[in-house]
Amino acid sequence: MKALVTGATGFLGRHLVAELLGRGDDVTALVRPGTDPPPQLAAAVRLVRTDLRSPGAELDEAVAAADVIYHLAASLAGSWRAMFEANVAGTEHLARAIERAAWKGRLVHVSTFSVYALNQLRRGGVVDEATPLEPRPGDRDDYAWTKVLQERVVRAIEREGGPQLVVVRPGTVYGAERQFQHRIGRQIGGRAVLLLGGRNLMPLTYVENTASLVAECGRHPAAAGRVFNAVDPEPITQWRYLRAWLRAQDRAVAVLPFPLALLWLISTGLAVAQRRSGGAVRPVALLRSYVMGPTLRPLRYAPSQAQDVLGWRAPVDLQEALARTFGRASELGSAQGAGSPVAQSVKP
Amino acid sequence: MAAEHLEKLRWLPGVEVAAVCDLHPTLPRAVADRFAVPAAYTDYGAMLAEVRPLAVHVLTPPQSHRALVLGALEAGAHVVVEKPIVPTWDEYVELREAAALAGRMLVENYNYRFMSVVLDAIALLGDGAVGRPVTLDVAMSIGIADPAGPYADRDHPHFAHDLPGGALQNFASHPASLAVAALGGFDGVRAWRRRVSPHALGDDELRAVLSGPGVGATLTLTSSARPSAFTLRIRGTEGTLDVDVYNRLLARGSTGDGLAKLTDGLRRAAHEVASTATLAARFATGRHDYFEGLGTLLRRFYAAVADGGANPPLAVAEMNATNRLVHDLFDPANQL
Repeated sequence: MKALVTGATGFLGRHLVAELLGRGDDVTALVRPGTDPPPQLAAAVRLVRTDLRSPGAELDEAVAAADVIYHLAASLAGSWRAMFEANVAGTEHLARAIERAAWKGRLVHVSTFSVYALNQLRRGGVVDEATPLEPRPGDRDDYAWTKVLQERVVRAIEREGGPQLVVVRPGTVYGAERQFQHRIGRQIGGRAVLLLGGRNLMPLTYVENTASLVAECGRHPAAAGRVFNAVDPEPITQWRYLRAWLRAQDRAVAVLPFPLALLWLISTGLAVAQRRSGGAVRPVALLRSYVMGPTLRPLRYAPSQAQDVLGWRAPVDLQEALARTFGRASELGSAQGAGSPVAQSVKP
Repeated sequence: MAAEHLEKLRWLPGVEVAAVCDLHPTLPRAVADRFAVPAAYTDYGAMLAEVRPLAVHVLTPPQSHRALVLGALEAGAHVVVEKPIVPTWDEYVELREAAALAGRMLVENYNYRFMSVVLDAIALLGDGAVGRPVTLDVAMSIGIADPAGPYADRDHPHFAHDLPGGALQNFASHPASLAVAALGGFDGVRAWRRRVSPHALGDDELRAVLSGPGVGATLTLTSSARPSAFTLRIRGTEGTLDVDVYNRLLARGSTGDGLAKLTDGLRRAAHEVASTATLAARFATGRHDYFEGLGTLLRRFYAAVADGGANPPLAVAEMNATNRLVHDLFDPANQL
């Protein structure tokens, strides 16, 4: 199968390329001209040098030659304009190339949990593929806003009779190259961590599992037209993930717990103060309830419907995923820590 | 900057954002939805004709400002325009004359010039807090060589690189506006610029020596200094003023001898403690606003609009002097 991968040099992209090569696919990787891909990637795939923000004719040729397009390219940070150009305009350019080629293959679009209306769920609510989409993405953050817009672009080309679309929405993707997660809290100068809560479950998805699901969505007949969440079947708490991370650090890191109730109180008070002050009060993102809500709210995460629909199973279990992420010394073993219960997976 | 303007306008009483416009086919609608703006356009002329706005904010790349500002002035609107207002001095003169002819305000956004700490420092200077100003040093860190930032992106070069002074010119208005606000214009400029970081796509450091009537100044823009800072120091015949612009902190120092030096030291120590507490309190109470100055500028601008434009928030002479200084900083005739 001929696969075209955008964002191939990114965190998930590198693992997806390895997964596709392992499945015997003929992989073409879209790489920005100024990016130096890892040598093993460059040796194993065909490289197409173009930037989705201002693509050349190479993009049309690459699209026309593909059986499946895996669209991963995205920006997670920067100004809102920069994120719009990378996440929305880049996807629009890909969509126009698909239209020009009258391409009817399968487009696997990698989205995010951030598009869900997590602030609207009740405490303890379950996140699954049927969760409504965020109604106020602009009030969340630029990433959520641009990813919602990005999904609209790919939905539009599907509606107009374009490719078969599969949308994969990963939770928090982790792996050796991305160990610390903002869903835990914030690092303070490398010497301390501000732990926001600790007992909430995290929608973790180990990067090799995510890559496996994305690859499966590119070939399984039943995936066409569906949305699948990427979340590992054994959710763990913030505190338990933090313990694994702490064990992997080569120096002592202080943990400064910050009670979620206090954070809620402060952020709610500041929201009121902002309204009453006519905008003079402008809380930082960490203290905005609508921005932080998805992290602060205790939610449960249903296993991916890919298990039932595709018969797909995450190839790497939790113990092994944590070991590959943090090293063997950080394996969780017997969950010794008080206050770090292992949650059960949820069936909605 | 468009998001910051829209965010500030949301809170301004009596101001209604009537429409947004961008050449991109889907961006205006998305922005309009996000900020509850009733209309979105991709055709600037159509927007001006149909909406007939009282004021237009021109927030596009500077190479496009001239045509957009002229269009807005012709449509009878007052104009706020992002810095740098235009790439060249000649274009600036053309816009200034057009604004005068139309009888409309033309105001360039010098965000930092309107931060409360800078306004306080200027007021103190006016009150003679340092006596007669003798020297001024203004220095600003800029992230134009940050490999992950937009200015060092080789695949999608930032529009600022096409300015006559490169990406440095995109930031020069900030220190220039502070120097001019504090001391007025400068009649002598010597500058040099260079590329320091291998990640930079062009020059990423500018140093200049400025001379004015009875005063001297230095101006530095650099991508190398860390942590990121924007500082202004003014020494006078009777004291000093130190302004930490980003952190909105102001310190006064005397030039006394003997015991005065001791009390000055104690005062500085107390200032450091108070500053730390101030920063923590601002963070916790949502008053650590990086764009505080933009809010003040727009509030004053719209008050002036309501008044018919007679008292713009920025005097024409000051804006002229700032633009002249920016021009001189990059004028090949002034390079060392």
